[in-house]
Amino acid sequence: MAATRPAYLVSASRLSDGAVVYLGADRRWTERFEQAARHDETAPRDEALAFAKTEEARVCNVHVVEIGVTAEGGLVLSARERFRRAGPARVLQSLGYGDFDRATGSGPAGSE
Amino acid sequence: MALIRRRASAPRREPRAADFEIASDDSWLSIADDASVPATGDVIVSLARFMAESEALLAREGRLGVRVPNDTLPELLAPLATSATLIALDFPTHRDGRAYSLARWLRSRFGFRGEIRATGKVVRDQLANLARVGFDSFELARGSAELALASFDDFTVHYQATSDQPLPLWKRAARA
Amino acid sequence: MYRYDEHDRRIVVERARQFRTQVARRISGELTEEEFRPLRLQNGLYIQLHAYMLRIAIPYGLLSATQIRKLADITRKYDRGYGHFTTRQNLQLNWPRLEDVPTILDELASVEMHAIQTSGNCVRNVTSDPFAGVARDEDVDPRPYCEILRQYSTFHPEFATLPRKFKIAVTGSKNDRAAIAVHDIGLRVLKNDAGEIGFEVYVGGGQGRTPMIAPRIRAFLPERDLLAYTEAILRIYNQLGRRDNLYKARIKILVHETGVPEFTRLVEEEFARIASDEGLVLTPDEIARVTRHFEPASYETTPATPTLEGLTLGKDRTLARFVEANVLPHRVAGYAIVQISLKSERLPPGDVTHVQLDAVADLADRFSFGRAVVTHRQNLVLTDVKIAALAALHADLAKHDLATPNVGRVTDIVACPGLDYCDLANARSIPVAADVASRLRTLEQEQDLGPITLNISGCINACGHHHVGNLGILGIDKLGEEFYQLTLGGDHTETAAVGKILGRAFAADEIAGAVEKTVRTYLALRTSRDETFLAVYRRVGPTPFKEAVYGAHPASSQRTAA
Repeated sequence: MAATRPAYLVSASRLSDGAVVYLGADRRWTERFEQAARHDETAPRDEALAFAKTEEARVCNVHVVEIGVTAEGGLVLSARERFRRAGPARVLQSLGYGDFDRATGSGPAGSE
Repeated sequence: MALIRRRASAPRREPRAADFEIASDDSWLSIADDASVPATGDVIVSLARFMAESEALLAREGRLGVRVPNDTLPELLAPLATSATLIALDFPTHRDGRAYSLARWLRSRFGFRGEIRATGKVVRDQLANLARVGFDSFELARGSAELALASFDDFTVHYQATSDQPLPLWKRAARA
Repeated sequence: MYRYDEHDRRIVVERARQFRTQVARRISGELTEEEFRPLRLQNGLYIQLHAYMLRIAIPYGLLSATQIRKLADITRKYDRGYGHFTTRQNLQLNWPRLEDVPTILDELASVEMHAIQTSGNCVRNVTSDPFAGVARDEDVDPRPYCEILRQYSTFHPEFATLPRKFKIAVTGSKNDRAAIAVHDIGLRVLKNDAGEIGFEVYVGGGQGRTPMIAPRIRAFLPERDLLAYTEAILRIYNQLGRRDNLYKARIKILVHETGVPEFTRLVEEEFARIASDEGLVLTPDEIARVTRHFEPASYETTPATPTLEGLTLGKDRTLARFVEANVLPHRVAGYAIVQISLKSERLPPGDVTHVQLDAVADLADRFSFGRAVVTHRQNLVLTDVKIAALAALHADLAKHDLATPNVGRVTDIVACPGLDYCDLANARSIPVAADVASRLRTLEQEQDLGPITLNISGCINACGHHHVGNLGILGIDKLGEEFYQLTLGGDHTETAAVGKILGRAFAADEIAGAVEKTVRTYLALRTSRDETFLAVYRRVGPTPFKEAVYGAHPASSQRTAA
């Protein structure tokens, strides 16, 4: 494993549907991992976390995600964070529900 | 912090909002272990202090209440049942349910007929359960006391026999 | 099956109403998440990796066709059109929205269902033998006692905040299909020599990070004492169970640390104090009242042919294979027990689409008195099918991908949702199940591998019951990569045992191969077709399997999470 230094994101689950969201640099919540504010130091991280905890009207399950950054700037994520980042589409596609039509039940996972 | 308690006139039965009130007066004074006990008035002391000074405490004027930690062995409750007027059971968090069983033991095993008070991290959504196992009064940690009072009516049917109801539902109601 | 009366109905309706106000209070900001969390958990509502998850209780796994249709409808209206049956005989929705959950609870209440106590540190859904009421080896039908315990434990005010969750299973047969040895309380209902009904009581079994087989603390508890004895156990646990460490909070740790004799003494002492309480003594009338709900179906006299044996020898080989693997003898002549595998090639283990649910409801109506049962191995059962109707039922099941002939076979894999869905998981379970199944499917069709249970958990919480699978797979995280430990020798039946780790963990692309080698080693070692995998493992121990799995490629054992 390449040597990495730690960096931090603030993440949460959206209150309405539980979807993964990240706190952006503009202090808005985004579903896009790329738009998450990345903190190299603990002080701004803790500040962002403190803000996130005041956002209970929008989110729950607020927490810090630690990631690794390589010397070249590449990101190293845990399996869990890779899957969170990839989102529901990956789950549905890989488990056979990708083209599943909820209304008719047809498609690969359906029956007829 | 608000105190909710069973109305003096209310029968001991499955809880209903009408049986409880928000107390505007409370005669009980909780005394820290390093503070001296006043000569008169209703006081609540710790179990440790009660065990060390029970003669003096019982000899004074005013009623006696005892604070009981929730990890107390039930055997230690026996002497309290006959000498205390109020027993305060503590909830260090609302997830720690040991005091529920202590209340059941106080009522059914030791026949305690005085007031059992819930103190500590007590929240609205526990109140009906607390009343059912034998609590009479509740120091609400936060939130609206009026809404908390209404929560006693969330459920109007209960299956079990508990401290306030000697019979389970199937012995009370004709069931198909 | 048990039908609600006005009281039962009122309780689930009031529960849904209560949760609607709690959700509104959370959304309005009156409740903090910290305060709301235990309230939603008591209604089975979790936050998972990508979404909320709602766990719906299916008491002892029993469903009516009406209830199954309602579940199909709920997955269509409020979710993505499919659900997942769990190892506790429950159904999970993977994608509900918070604001819809109160309405889902209303819909459930309309068919006498709920999500009460499917999470939280309370008494969970009581589980039982999926063949209850129809099994040939049954001494006493356990379901009335399950229902009595369901009512007793529903909103029991004293036991809503136990040190940890609390699971009860009841079986009525010597052959244990309810895994009672790995429950907090396991009950076996039986008749003594005098013909009186009572229970063997086992306490302190469990899985998770400290798997334990429950010791028996009572050889015969008269049925009238069921509630008093259960209450004594719960009260001692509530008072003395550890609350300082989440991982040591289950009753199994209390039993282990206190010692079985002392724990038993404490329970018996409390029991003696409350045994004659009028609120707890079960009366013959009450037992009879609940038992009436579980009276046998109105079976008909059926023709002497076909027989199950005849069908397994018949020309229709697809039907023959289905009957051999999935169909069991019934206690009533002319009827059979039909197991529906939810382990096809197309869907994750235990998953069903709304179309399949509707199909099962229709088939239950047409062929099995309108009822179906969920098993703790994540399959379904139609308990009362005429043997003469098996061919027709099989044909209809096949149309819906519900006729996979593998129940109890190695591809009938139990798997938790794993890291595809679960917030606690360390690794994915479902893709491993798919890999293993696709590797072994041909072998299973070519050779009779006999009964083998294979269980996969995505973390040490062991929701996939890997400890008690003949083969168990446990997902772990090694430096950010998914790895899998293989355990052998587990058993969830009356000869319960916890499996032992075979050796170093495997990378995701290695584990299916290791399982295949294990199964091939079994084939080579068995003395006859009748010697099961478990029997061989118990005879020869782990060494030949270890050599087969690790010995052949010593270089690969050097592989780490590079």
